[in-house]
This record gives sequence, structure tokens and C-alpha cells, in this order.
Amino acid sequence: MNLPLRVLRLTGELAGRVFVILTITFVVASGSAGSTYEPYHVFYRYLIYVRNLATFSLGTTSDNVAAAFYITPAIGRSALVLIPPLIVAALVVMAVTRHAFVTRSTLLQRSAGSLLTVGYSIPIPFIAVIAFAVAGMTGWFPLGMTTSVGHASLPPFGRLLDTVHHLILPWFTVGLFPFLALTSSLIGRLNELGDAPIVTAGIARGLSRRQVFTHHLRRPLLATLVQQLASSMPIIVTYLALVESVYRYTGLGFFLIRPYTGSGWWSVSDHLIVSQAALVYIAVFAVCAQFLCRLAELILIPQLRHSEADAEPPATRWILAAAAGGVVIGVALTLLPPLAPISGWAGSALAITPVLVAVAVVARARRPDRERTERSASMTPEQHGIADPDDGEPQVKTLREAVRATGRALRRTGKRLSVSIRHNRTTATQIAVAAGLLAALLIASSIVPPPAPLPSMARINPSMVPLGQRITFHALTALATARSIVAVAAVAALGVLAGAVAAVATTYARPPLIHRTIGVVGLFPTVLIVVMLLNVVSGYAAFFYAFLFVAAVRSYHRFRDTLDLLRQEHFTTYSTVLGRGIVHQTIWHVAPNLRKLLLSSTIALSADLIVLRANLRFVGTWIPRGVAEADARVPGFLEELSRLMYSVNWGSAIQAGVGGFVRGYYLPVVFPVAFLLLAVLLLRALAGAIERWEHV
Amino acid sequence: MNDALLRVTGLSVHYPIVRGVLFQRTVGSTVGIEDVSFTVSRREIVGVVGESGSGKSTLLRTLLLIERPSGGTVEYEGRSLFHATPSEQNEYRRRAQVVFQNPRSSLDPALRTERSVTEPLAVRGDVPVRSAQGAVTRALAEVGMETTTGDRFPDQMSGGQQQRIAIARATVSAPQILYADECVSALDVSVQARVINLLLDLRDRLGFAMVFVTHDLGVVRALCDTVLVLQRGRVVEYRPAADFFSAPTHAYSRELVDAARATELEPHR
Repeated sequence: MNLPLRVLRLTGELAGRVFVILTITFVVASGSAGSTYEPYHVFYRYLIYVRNLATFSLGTTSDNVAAAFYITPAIGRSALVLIPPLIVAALVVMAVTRHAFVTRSTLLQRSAGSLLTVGYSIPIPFIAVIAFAVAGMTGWFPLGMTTSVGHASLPPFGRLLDTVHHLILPWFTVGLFPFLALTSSLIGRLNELGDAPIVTAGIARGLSRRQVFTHHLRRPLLATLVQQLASSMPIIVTYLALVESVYRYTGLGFFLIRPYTGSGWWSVSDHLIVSQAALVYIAVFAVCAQFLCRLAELILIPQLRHSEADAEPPATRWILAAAAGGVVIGVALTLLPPLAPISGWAGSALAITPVLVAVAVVARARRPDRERTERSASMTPEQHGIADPDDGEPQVKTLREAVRATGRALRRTGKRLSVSIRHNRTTATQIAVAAGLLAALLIASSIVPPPAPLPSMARINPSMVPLGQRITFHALTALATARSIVAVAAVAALGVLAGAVAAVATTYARPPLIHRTIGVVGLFPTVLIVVMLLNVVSGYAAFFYAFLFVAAVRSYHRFRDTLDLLRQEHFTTYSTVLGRGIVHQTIWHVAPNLRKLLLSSTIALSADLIVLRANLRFVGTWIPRGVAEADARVPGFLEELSRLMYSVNWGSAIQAGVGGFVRGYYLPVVFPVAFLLLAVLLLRALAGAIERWEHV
Repeated sequence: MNDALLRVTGLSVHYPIVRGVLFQRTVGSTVGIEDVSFTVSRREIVGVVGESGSGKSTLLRTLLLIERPSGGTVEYEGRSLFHATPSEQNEYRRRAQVVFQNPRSSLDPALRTERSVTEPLAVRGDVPVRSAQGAVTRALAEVGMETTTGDRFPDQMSGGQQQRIAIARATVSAPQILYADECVSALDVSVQARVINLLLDLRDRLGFAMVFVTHDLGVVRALCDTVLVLQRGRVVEYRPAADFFSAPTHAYSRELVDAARATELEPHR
């Protein structure tokens, strides 16, 4: 039985991830406090801070009173908002999948891809606002509070009902994305497994479809479910933060975002401590949730438990066991104050040292064998006489011949393109329609003049302004935001390119620690990355770096997976046999195979970034440090690009309209949301169609 | 044997067994191939046979300079390959080519056929593009493919056509030795026969030698001049093909030949 060893290894990985989280948050702390304090002082204070985080005793030092006051109760509240909808979503999705298999529902099986697209495209805060407005109008659900005023006087069951009543809207909003993502994954997997020999054999043996599902499909589908849950965790936690902000539900996500909105009593001088504590807890929660999902995978998939069992050197087991034991002892010493010999440096060091050992062990144990690829020096120039110089293309000597050759090449390219378009007729139509509509949106946003301001009475009572004038105003305002698509796409393109270059570098050079670190960073909720960068970088460029980072990390894994597959193909071995290294393989095989992926990823990530930006701007997380100074400076290219993203934004348009929406005036929100959804769906359709394009 | 193109002497490949995590040490090794010796003359076809795990592919990868040997020498035209300078190794690579088992995997799906066939010429860097195009056209014609197939992607061709393209890619640079790793085992029987005839025809016309790795003795009988039998990484028999099939000397060889005969279909009575 290999399960204990696997669990130990996963524990080592978990410890490594927590260590990376702490390192990153320390860098953020240094960025914020580094100019005021000496580095060793920041480090010293940070260690004490981490130790207090681990013991949930933030209030014991004068620095952390605010964090203790706000954060500690928020942990339980966030767990209450997040965990029940995840459980319900998982149960419902399993039931839906079973129903789809038993009834052979083609509708569900065809809609797998669409469900995921919808899940990624809808701005979740907008769903929260709709739910908020419906609740406000109908009065069915309480808003803005976690419990009723008389909660404490209710009987136990009544208290439970009261809590559930208050949480229904946040649960619905938080659970929507996991539900769509899980349904999409499971139906997709069901489509793969539905015709598997084991299913056919089961039906041939006379089992009912219900029995076949229970005996043969339930376990692999559960494995898919936990895998999808683990990979979606960063997005789910991001949505948790956004939803808590919208509902003013004082959980961890609320305290993560609120200090950066620049308003309210949370924006106090020690906001960094509050936000950092929320950040660490959320990130640790995300990696712990993924750890549990990996454990569940081990239980569900026997092959994972037993693979490489014999190849594991005995020493690895002992060292991994020692490392995991060290982590447990270190945490125990830290958690139990009487056992902690001294506070501060030594206590924190005790907690962190085993983590460092575990990281080293895991990194070392996973180090791949060195490639023995032969790299060649320059080729000796020698003619083999295998080709007749008169063969092939005619020699180009004069300008006229050059023009003719160019014409021939153009005609050939045109012919190939025409054949390719004919072959991919449906896809070509989709691309043409999506690209055409996007272009129309962009052109319209550029040539249509900005709207004249509405009379001031519109702010008090919009119904005093004629409906036509209001529609025109809001439509033009929303349209104007479309211009920033270009800026977002430019940042996405740069990020995707950076991700691709990093993937090529780590695939061929294989530095395992860098690859693993990027992997851990990829697990971070996106909102954390953005918040951290907004805290460290000042001025508009913070948006540029934040989105560049998100795009690069997200695309990295996609490219890395593709490259790992490419390396298994014989044509890359053939290149090695020819004696060529990374440059030749990149030009001849990597670039042609990644070309389509580069384009489609850029477009898809543009859509992701637009949604992310709208979400963040909508909840107010859009005020970086030093904007005033940035406004006073002569802007460079990056700042100008970022300023465009910052100032022209669907998120701000939606936010501006929400006040009216809640009062029953829909127009201010309808147009920006409609344009946003249109743009995002068009971008996704375009990316999907490009990926489906077949070589001819 | 003075006309030996390739001389392999006592070639061994061992894979180390590494123990320890923080302080790794080698505690032993597993044998990939052990003390393998044979020669390949010009225009000769040597068949390397053996069951799965016998070391056939390891031998081939070592001869292609992908694996580094633990011991022994490989001499190409009298010069040791593993002690050669990089430029001498490249010289060898220019004269050695390989055809893999799976044609679908051995051709890059993102490259047009013509470009795939051009790759070995482009790597050399000493053949002008216009000349290369002529050579590609001729190589495609030699494997019985029309010139227009150069404009297609691998996915638009059948497995047999793809393997022909892979052979064209291997022969376009006029190799002196061709390594074939189970290059017909992924094809159906009728296509196998065509590809074998094609290889024999190309050998006669272009004059290259071949090292043909396979587990199919029928193919070896049809194609090879000499047979090398590997068992657990060691050579158990190395003889001319006619002698091998008429009277195998080693017990393992006899088992192989008997098994091959047993799988041949008896005529219907």
C-alpha cells in the first residue's frame, strides 16, 4: 500500500506551497514597508506576524489589533459562505450527470462547452447585483447582514434557519460558477466515457444504465469532479472575495478588498495588516482545499496510489516522513503557546525550517533526469551534390523576376488560403461573424462622439429626463468603453508571449524549482495577485503589471502542457537525431505548433481580463498607490496603456449604474452589461473558432 | 572486414539505480544492452530482432547518439563516434537517418509535407533553398508520391502515405546508413509489403546500408542480409539471414523461428 507515502509527499507539497505564499506576502510587506524600515526589521516583524497568524492570536501584539478584531471572526464566516454551495453544487452536478447518462440526454451532452463559456463570461458581481435588486424589490431575502437583530434570542433551529435565510443569496452567487464549471467538466468526461468498452460490455451483460453508472462511471466521474474543483479553486475564491464585497458580508474576501477601495472605516493606516492577514488565510485555504482534492484523488484512483511504488527509493520515504513530521512538530509547537520555547524569531524559525526542508525534499525528489541530448556545434559547409541546381524554383536574378516570384508566392498563398477556408467553412463563418462584430463595436466606439452629459436632475430622478435621451446617453457611454478592448488585448498578447517563452525555457532547460514555483503562483486566486501588485507597484503601471502577470501565469500552464506533449512525439526526437538543439526545435516545431494556440490564448485571455477588470473595478479594487503622482508625471507608453484600461472601463460603467439599478432604474446597468457580455462572448467565439481551424 | 561502414564493438548501456534524496548515490545498474558487437557493410541490411525489452530500441538510440554508452565503441568509417569532435559527430549525423515506427508521430502535424522533407537539408545549411526543393521533389517521386502531396499536411494522408513521406525525409539527404525502428509494424500487411519493396528498391538505387529493428521475423526474412538476435540486452546469435532461418543455433533463436512458423496460417483443407 503506497497511500501513506503519497500522503506524505502531498503534505510536503502543501508545506512548500504555504512557504511560497508566505514568501510572496513577505515581498509585498517589504514593498510596502521597505522604505520606512530596514529589511531585517521588516523580516523580523513579519516572522512574528506569521507566527501570530498561525496561532490565530493576532491581537497579542500592538501591530495586529486591527487584524485580530476583523479577521479572526471572518474566517468562519467565509467558510460558511463558501463550503455549503460547493457541496451542494457537487451533489447536484453528480445527479445531473447521472440523469444525463441514464436518459441519454443529448441536450446536456451537447451543452458542455457552452456552460463553461457562460460560467467564465458572466461577471459574477453582476449576478450578485441582480440577486441584490430582486431581493430588495421582493423583500424575500435580507440584505447586508449576516444574521437578524434578534438572532441570539431564537431557538437553535430558528438560528440555523435565520442564518440560512441570510446566506441564500451569497450561496447562490458563489455556487453558480462551480456549478457551471463542474457540470461542463463532468458532461465532457461523460461524453468520453459513455462509449468506453467497459460501458458497452456492462450494457451487453444486461446491466441497466443506472447500474452501469453506479458500478463503472461514478468513481472516474468523482475523480474528475475533485480535479475540476481543485483547478477551479483560485477562481472560486476570487468570486468569494467579490461576492462578499458586493453583499457587504464581512468575510475574508471583504477584508481583502475593502482596504483598497479607499473608503469607509476599513481604510485605516494599518490596512496592510488586515489585508495581508486575509490574503494569507485565503491563499492557505485555497492550497489546503487543493490538498484535500488531491487526497480524494488518491482514494478514488487506484493507479495514482500504486504508480511508481517500486521505483521509490527507501531513503525518500524516511526523509519525507521526517519532513512531514517536522512540519507537524513545528506547527504544534507554534500552536501551543506553553510549548513554544521563545516567541518571535525562534518560534517562527521552528515553524518555517521544516517547511524549508520539505520544499527541498520535494524539489529534489521530483528532479527529472538530465537530458542526454546531444547539442551540435556549427555544421561543416560541404556540398553533397544531392541536388541539381537547375531543379526547383527558377533562379531570381532581375527585379522583374523577383516581382514575378513574389506574385507566384502570393497566388500560391491565396490558393492555399482559399482551399483552407473552403475546408473550414463553418469555422470560417464563425470567425468572420465574430471578428466583424468586434470590429464594428470597436469602430463604432471610435467614431461615435461621446454623449453629452445628462441634466443634473437625472441624478435625482432619472424619470424626469425623456427615455430616448437616457437610452442614448447610456448606450453611448457603454459603447465608449469598447475602446479599451484594444489595450486589454495588447496586454494579454504580451502576457501570453511571456508565458509561452517561460514554458519553452522551462521545458527545455527544465529547472524544476522555477516550474514548480510558477505552478504554485498559478494556484493563487487572481484577485490576490492583482491586489498584491496594486500594493507593491505605484501608479497606473500597476494595472499593466497585474494583468501581464495574470495573463502570463494563466497561459504558461497551457503552453507547458502542449510542449510536454510535443516532446513525446517522434518528430522532436528526429530533430535531436539531426543534432539540433532548442533553437532549431523552436523554429521548426515549437513555433508552428504553438502559433494557433498563441492567437487563441491571447483572444481568450483578453476576454478573461475584461471580465476580471470589470469585476475588480465594480467592487472598487481599482485604486493603486500613487495615482496622483502618476497623473502629474509625463506618461510613458505603459502608463498610457494602463490609464486607458483604468479610465475607460465597463466595471466603472456598471458600478455607476448600480445605484440606479437598485432603485429600479435599469438602463444605466443594462447597456454596459449587454456590451460587456457581447464583447466577451464574441472574443470567446473567435478564440474557440481559431482553435478548431484545421490544417489543409 | 575492410568495407565495414559501421563497426560496433562491445557496446554496453547501463542505467544507474540511484538511491537517496538529499545525497544521491548510485547503488547499482540495470542492463540496457551488454557487450553488443556487429558490423554493417555498405549496402548491407542488418535485422535486429528480439522480444520486447530485449534492448533493440536502446541499441538504436545509442547508434543515433541519443543515449551515451557505458562501454564499448562504435566506429563509423573507421572513426570512433563517441570520442569524436562535435563536427565529426555532425558529419555522421548527416550520413545517418532514421525512420520511426509510428508515422503519425514522426511527422510534425503543423508542417506541410514538403517542409518536413526539407528539414534534414535545412539543418545542414549548405544546400540552397532552390536546390533543396528539387531534391525534395525527387525524393517524393522516389517513394512514389506525387509532387502535389508536398502541399498537404500529414493528417490528410493515410498511414502508408505518411510512412512513405517519412522514408522520403530520411532519404532526401542521401544517407549512407538508414536506421529503421519497427518502421512497418504499424502498417497493415499490404502496405507493409509495399514499404518493404520500396526500401529494397531505394537501397538498390541509393546504395545505403540499413539497420532494421523489428520483432517480425517475416519482415526480416524478406528484407535482411544478416540477423542479430538480442535477448536481455545480449547478442545470442549473429548470422547471415539464410543460415539463421534454415538452422538457428541458439535455443532462443529456435524459439523465435518456431513461433514465427507457428503463426503462419496453414492452407485451408
